[in-house]
Amino acid sequence: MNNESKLDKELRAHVAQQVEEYVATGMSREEAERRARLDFGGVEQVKEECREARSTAWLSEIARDLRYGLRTLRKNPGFTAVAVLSIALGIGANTTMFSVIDVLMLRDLPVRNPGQLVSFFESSPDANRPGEIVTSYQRIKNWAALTRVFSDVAGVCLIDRSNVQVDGNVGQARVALVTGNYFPMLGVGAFLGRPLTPDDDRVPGGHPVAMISYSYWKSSFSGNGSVLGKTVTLNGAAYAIVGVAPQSFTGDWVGRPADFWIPAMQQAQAMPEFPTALSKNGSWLRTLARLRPGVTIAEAQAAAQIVHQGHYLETWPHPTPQQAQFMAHSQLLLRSAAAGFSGQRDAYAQSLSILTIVVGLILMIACVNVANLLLARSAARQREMAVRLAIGAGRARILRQLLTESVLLAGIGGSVGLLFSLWGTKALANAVASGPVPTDARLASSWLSFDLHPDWRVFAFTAGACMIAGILFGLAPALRSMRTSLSPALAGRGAPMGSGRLNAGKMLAIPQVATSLLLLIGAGLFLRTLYNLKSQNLGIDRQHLLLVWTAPGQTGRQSAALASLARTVQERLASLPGVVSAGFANKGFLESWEGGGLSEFIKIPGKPPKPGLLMMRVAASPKFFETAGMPLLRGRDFTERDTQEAPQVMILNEAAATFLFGSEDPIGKRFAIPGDNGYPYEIIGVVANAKLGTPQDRRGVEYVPYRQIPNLMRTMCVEVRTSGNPSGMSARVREELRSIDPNLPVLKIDTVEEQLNDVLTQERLIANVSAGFGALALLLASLGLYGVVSYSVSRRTSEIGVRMALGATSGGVLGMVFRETMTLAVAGIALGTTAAFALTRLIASRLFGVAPADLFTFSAAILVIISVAALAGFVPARRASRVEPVEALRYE
Amino acid sequence: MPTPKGDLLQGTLDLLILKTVALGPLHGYLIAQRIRQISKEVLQVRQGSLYPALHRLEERGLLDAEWGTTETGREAKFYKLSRKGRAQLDRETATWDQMARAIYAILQTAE
Repeated sequence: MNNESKLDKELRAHVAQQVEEYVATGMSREEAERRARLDFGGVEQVKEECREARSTAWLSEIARDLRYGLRTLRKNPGFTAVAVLSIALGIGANTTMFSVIDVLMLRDLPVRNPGQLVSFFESSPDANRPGEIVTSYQRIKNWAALTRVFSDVAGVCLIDRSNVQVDGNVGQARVALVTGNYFPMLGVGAFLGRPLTPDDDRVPGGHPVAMISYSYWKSSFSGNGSVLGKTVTLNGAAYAIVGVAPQSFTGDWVGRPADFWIPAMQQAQAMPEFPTALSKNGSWLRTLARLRPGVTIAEAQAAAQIVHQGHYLETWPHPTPQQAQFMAHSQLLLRSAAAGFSGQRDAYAQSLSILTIVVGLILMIACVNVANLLLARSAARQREMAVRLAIGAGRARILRQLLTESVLLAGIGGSVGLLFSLWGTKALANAVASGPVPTDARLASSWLSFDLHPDWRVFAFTAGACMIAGILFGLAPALRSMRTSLSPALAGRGAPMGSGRLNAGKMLAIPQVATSLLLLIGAGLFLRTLYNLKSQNLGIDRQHLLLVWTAPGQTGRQSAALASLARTVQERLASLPGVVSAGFANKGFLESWEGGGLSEFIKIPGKPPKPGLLMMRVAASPKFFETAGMPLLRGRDFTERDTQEAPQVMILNEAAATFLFGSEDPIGKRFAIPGDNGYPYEIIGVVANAKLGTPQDRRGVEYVPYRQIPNLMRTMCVEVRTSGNPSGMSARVREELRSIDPNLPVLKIDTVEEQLNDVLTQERLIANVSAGFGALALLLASLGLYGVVSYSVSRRTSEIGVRMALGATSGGVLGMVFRETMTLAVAGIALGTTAAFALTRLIASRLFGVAPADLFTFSAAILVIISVAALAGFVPARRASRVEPVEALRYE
Repeated sequence: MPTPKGDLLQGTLDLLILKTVALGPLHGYLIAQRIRQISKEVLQVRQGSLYPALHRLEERGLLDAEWGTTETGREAKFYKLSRKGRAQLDRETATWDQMARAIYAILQTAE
């Protein structure tokens, strides 16, 4: 029987009963029925009202609670704004951070059994952290032969190309060269067509086929279903499109999505700047392997270590003692690649964990703030509650009302927080998406690009945390106040109940001050680090210098042709009006990458090997030093006569010269690196140090004339010194390069300041985010402090009135209240300083030119906190000092 | 929330219903009868107010309902006080008592 017929039956029974009763009094049945129906009224109307009573009983009560809650929040705009802002900041910041961390570190690749995937790393004694192994096609096959532990091993190389043509439009694209088993090993199929297979990867240069990514298909082929069989042209060679990858799969490199994949056998055609890659020793492929089911990483690592040592023996069949030692210490490391590969993961991991701690502290401050506000307000509302209790509202009813308000507050705060995190993830994605362009195609650029959006799980989690905090702190005092008797509250004397709350509020203000001090100190240290790095002497003249990053190797030129292209570029740019001079090298400034060779492998006649300096080689043009503003300290500059036929010469930077020769004059000395016959190089000069990698670069540099090792000029950075604003020249420079060779890619044109900003992306990110959050934390904490003290003043109005009536001066009252604030502030500062001393040591490696316990930063942060606390305390203190004794007593 | 359309003060009908069924399970017709009888014909409960109120109280868990047979052998829905309902009745009785006293006190002194 459904509700409707039950209702019908119930009402019928009523009428029937009435009829019987009337009949019993002697009425005729017809008359009785008529009277009964008349008595009852409209049956349908009664039914409707019964239905309504059932369905809307709880709904309408919730609606009323919500309306009442909204009205209360509207009546206290200050309270509402601070609470909503606190919740929104906490939720927004945390959702943003965890969304990034999830994308970069936690999310599994959309492939079959991602847990079985491993990537190959190597730890060596000279590297401070393990680097990924980049190896040859042949060696990948050697790993794959370990079939006991690996079910398959694939190689992949990701390159950025700017001469990709689709339907006659030239554009940029990121290309992944993959071994034929890459897609089968990952278990990734095709959205359209088919994926690449081992049959696509047999003969060098024989497989012009490509699989394109879903987003490339959408953007370059407008998602056209007839894309299969169309071509995409790379370096003039056309590749037939055989498949479109699933939307979820963008490659195994997190943060660097591939636009299309081509077989590794097409390497020479795709990367003309690296013609020997497919030879036995050409190192260019990153390795990705799938473990056999049941095989652990440790087992596979042990098996692969033997092959790894074998590879070194192949490279160095007759190792010198240093090489033997290096080999013995080189350890192969397999790491889970379930979440994909990311060259940036290590680099960003620390920055992200620092920021995570920062946002965690923000969440804490936010929760404390909300709690504090609710505590203060619930005490203030004791009278209201008492009145409502007295007129008959159930206690449960009032609790539900308070709960509704907390939930409402969390809901509004959460919505604003969601807006914050939408904006925040976008801003953060933009912040990490800039960075220097590496000149070497095989190196990872340090920037990330990914489709970042707020993570719903994190959003739900943080929203829940704020709500629970709100509910706990909103309800606990309400529950307590309800157990107490009503009469004192009704009589207007809330003080006896207030005292307990006041302590709780005060207790909460102390960690708030401490946390904001901690954040301020952190922000101060990071800002000083950023400032120190930015003002670091770069060894070059920053003004009026334009850096033009290009890649002559991508035009397919080799050796002498590369050198002459580079020379043409230099001459043509130097002759532009407004250009003072031009010079070039195969490396630029502030490239971020700081690799190199070991100084112990350098051979100098009559000197023992000397370990301890990282050395790198740079091919430079004549006038390079002069254009960049690097003073030549001794000897001479390169000239156009330093050709392959002329004696081999070298210019050392000051760091290398001092390290290798001490106070001796290195000019005229001979120099060799492993593999050289005899001592081919003569040192002809010493040039001042310049920062080629980061502003902390301390490497030794051997400069060689570009004509003597022309193949280094596959990559190139041209320095252009201008008479006016360098940025104004960039369009003209771009045009000139296009007229020299339209196939010459222009990777980037920027000024030294712009390049510095790019290389300091992470430092800027940390400094700016922590400064921003430090300021917000300070604001929240000062609001909290202000709230606690001004509440205490309003509760003590009568006490202050009595004091003043008994002769206390207004100055004395001001001092008393002010001292109360400062006591809280000082307690918070003591706690915060102690915590800071313990915690800043953990970020020491991220600091530059400033000690973790930097006295200046600590004092400045404490001073800021004290000033803000003083301001927050002064306003209520002044209000207290102006209490009219008569007024205050009448209030009582 | 639909307001009772009787001559009773808002909220009092609920209290009267709770009090009436406190003695034992009753069906709607008897509840109306009983209120009229006890109040010496002063309080008339109209069906248009009674049944929505019964359903609302049942929905809020203050009343339990079950089907049974009347003394005349007819099937009817019987309402009885739930535990929650009894607590509510006690509270509301106390409140009402307090309120009545207060009003009476005011009426006494107002002259």
